Amino acid sequence: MAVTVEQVKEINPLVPIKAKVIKIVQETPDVKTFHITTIDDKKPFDPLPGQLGMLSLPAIGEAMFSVTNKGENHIEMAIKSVGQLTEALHEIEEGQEVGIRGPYGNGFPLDYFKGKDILFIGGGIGLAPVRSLIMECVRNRENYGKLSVVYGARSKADLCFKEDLFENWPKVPNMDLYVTIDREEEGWDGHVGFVPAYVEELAFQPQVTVLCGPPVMIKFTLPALQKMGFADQDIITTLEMRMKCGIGKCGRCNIGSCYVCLDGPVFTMEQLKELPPEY
Amino acid sequence: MFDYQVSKREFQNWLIKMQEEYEVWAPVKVGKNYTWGSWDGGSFPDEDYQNTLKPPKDLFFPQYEVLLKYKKVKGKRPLIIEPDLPQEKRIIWEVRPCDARSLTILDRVFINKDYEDPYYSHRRKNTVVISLVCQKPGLGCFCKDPLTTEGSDLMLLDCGDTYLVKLVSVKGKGLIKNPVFTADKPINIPMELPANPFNLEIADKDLAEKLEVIYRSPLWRELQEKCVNCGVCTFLCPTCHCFDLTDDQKGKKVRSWDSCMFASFTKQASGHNPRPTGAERLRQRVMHKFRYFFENHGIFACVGCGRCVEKCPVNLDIREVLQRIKEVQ
Repeated sequence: MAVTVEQVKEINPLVPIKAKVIKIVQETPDVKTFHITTIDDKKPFDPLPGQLGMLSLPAIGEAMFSVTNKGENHIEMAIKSVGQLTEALHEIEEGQEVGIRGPYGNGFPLDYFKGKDILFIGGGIGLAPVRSLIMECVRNRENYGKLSVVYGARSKADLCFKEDLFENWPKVPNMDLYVTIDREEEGWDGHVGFVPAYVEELAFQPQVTVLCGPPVMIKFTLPALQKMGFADQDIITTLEMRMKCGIGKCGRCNIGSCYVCLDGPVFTMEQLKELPPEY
Repeated sequence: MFDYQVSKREFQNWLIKMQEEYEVWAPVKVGKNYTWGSWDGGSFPDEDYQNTLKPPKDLFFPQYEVLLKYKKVKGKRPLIIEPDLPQEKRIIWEVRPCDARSLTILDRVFINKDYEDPYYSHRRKNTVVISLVCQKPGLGCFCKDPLTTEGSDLMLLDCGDTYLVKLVSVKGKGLIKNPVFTADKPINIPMELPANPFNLEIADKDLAEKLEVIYRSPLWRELQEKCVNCGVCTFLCPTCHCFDLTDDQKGKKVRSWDSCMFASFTKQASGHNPRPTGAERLRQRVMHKFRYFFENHGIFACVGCGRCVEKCPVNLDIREVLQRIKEVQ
């Protein structure tokens, strides 16, 4: 007996809902942000900052991405072209139908951030998950203290979310932006250097910090933060693991007995110290 | 204690009658091995029947399963078309008690309060499991209790010309309406089963505690020197359940077995791999079965069927591995 797609969706969380891409923003040569709604122009789901969504192209595949921002009727995912699916995603045009399911994961602990100064540290595409929280803080500015963002990329062209970095966020009250690129280049009068060294140079007072970036950035930034006196429970990061199901079954995103798709992707340094270093 | 005694002939007749309503599955000999197949209505297990090559998990969580189909439409994105959920009623019999028990472990993964896998749970609900007690252990066996009834609906004990039958579950009891099954008092096991024949109580609570402290032990690298990461242990394991989801080019969304033994299992698109060598992958397999699963579900994800012991191409014996772990200072 065949059941309808609707029935299966109700009982089977592995089935994506139909959605469409309504806007595509070229962030860098290899990163695009996709604005996604359902077929009837609604928000596919209402994610907390830091939560994940499984985006699919039928007959090609699906993969887990952080939701970088949400609007009234859409969600946004910033996606770098690195593999089979993401390359195919970079080929699609506005209006294209896609599949989506979610939200997955725990998201950032918003209550913990309320009223506090927050330091955001991002490298490359690592700003994508961090941005979901920055946007929350910008939308509800009065709920949070001073916002500082340190963001770096290889070159000016590789900086994601340029509109936010150079137009929108500079206008936000009590928000400092520190943007850096790896090497000097023509037409860039900002800071040049790697993120970990820049963070150290800026000598922040210990506060809550959210960082995400390539493993090498994390590796060198953590000791810098610890040297400055940041507490383990105040260093928060979001992890990336290969995922297939998103519901803690398929067995590949576990770190110890935690599943990143269920118990993560957001972890504090305090929590990570309790887990095997397998990420 | 068993509930009924029936002659094998009567049992066979009963099972043939059941075939009107159920598909009856049994171990079928192919070459030297037994595999799960449709019962021919006549044969009984040979003297040499130890267990099937592949565990019965295949009958509930197939190695390759189409979850969804897409239909290509010219000039448009493909349409999702209606999936079929398995509805056929089945009896599987001569399942070994360890394998029957493995189904209760898979149930914890696929049917729980947060999630019910519709494909798995349909098959599970529509299937009656009749187990057959082992009377002599296989070479690789290390179960704790050869008389365990967990996961069985009915249990049989071979007594030559007759079977002793034990009613285990409501589903099993509901099946026995035929007058061939009669008894007025419980029947004791008439023969001497080898006393604790398997006697390999390696997996105990001490093991889970020990695993908590030996994550960084050089033991893993040493064990890895032998392991070729072929993954046969995971594929033949009745409780291994890791899977992959892929879209094939013909428009099917497929779930297939995957293995933590493979490098590609955790390799990310960026090239980064959290478990880069065989040592981390071997550790993951052991840790998942005897520590992580224990932490999350309170039991080990191992029933001691011994398939991984018998079929490992390099004789990496999990019983020895567990013993080695316990001996690490």
